[in-house]
Amino acid sequence: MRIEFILNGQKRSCEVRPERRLLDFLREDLHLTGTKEGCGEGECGACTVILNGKAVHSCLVMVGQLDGCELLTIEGLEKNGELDAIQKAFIKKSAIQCGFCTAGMVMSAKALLMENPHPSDEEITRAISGNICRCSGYREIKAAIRAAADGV
Amino acid sequence: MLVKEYRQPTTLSELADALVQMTEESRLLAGGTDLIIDIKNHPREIPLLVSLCKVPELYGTGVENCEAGDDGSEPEKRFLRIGTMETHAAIAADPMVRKYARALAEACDHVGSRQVRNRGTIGGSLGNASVAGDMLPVLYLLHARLQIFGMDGNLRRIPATELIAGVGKTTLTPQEMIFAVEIPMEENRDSCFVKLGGRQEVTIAEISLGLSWARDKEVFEAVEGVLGAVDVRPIPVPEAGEILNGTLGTPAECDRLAEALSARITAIRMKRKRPPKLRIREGEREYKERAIRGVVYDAVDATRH
Repeated sequence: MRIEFILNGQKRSCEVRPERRLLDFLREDLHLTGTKEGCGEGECGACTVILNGKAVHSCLVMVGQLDGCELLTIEGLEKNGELDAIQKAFIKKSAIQCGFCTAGMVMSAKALLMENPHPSDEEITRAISGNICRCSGYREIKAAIRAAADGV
Repeated sequence: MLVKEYRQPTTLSELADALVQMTEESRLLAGGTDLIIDIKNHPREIPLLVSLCKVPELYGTGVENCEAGDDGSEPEKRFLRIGTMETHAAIAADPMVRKYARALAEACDHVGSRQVRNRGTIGGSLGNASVAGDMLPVLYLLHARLQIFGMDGNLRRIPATELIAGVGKTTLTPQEMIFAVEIPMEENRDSCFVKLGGRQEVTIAEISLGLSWARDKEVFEAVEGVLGAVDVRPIPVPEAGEILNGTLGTPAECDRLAEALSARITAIRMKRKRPPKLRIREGEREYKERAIRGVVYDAVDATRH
């Protein structure tokens, strides 16, 4: 099946097996390995990408469903060699330990700020409640999202 | 996983053509948040997978006027129509749903995680017929009906109460699908939905309770209630009206209602023949009977928001 979609701002057209998971398509076919596989069943949020402006699990999307959609992955956040404000805030606040959840965490935060540039602390907590980090206590992660939202 | 054929119809007639080919082993793909996990956990050959995401008629939320005699319901009734492919997130945020079906908005707002709500659909949730699903108890509460689309391209309507045939089973044939949900719009009623799960967020209901009542009254009037996740189907609980009507819903009434609902749950447990699938301790066996008290308090609290 041929699908057309926008990937990180660029129009793409690909011949795909439509029943493949978006996650596998990204990592194995497009070599975009920034998106991680954690649980593979929509529990951990490590594979979060932004589809038509909304955070979704790429392990729970079939690639045929991508046709006509706009997809943003972690690789698409950097613009002209400069990291996104959320990425910078994660570095500044040391919101990273092993780093495996980070891409998904950043994408959930990005989706939140795209929809709601001035979230409350509670809205930040809810937005990442589907992203599991087993190293940290989430405190630095929330502080980083807060800092990015406040433009600090 | 082996999908022999993947179809992604873009019109109703292509959808009807695809339905003709459906068998017991075929699957409809809505949001995919349950189906893709199911396929991963139970690898098997799927002869036909029909993706619903490209059919425009399956989306949208709006008011539908039902003419007298159209389906035998009262004349000139207005319904809120929600397309089967509407996501939990979209439904939770919809101002019309919040106004006319608050219980549904609240239920949708607490399905899974943000990512699941952005992808999961109301039709998919209903079609899975999960005992712990949050959509059906609310549809029972709001006296909703379902539009069913068949391979002949025609629609029929069933009350939401006629959807479930058993655990994970609906009364629909493989050549039929849920097309839309229709909720009667009652200007003078309000509703709420609460659930108890293992966690605050991203949790599956162990008990859920929906209440509806007459709006803007000094005391509770015309209260209706539905209990979810305690049996194969949601359970309407007339006790909610019998106990709360004419009262302010004080702790005394909440306790009486909790006692009545606890007795309901005990009765369900006693009549169950098969042993529980999970290995549970004696103390846990009666967990729901005890926990219902907090759920009742939460629900009565939610009526005041």
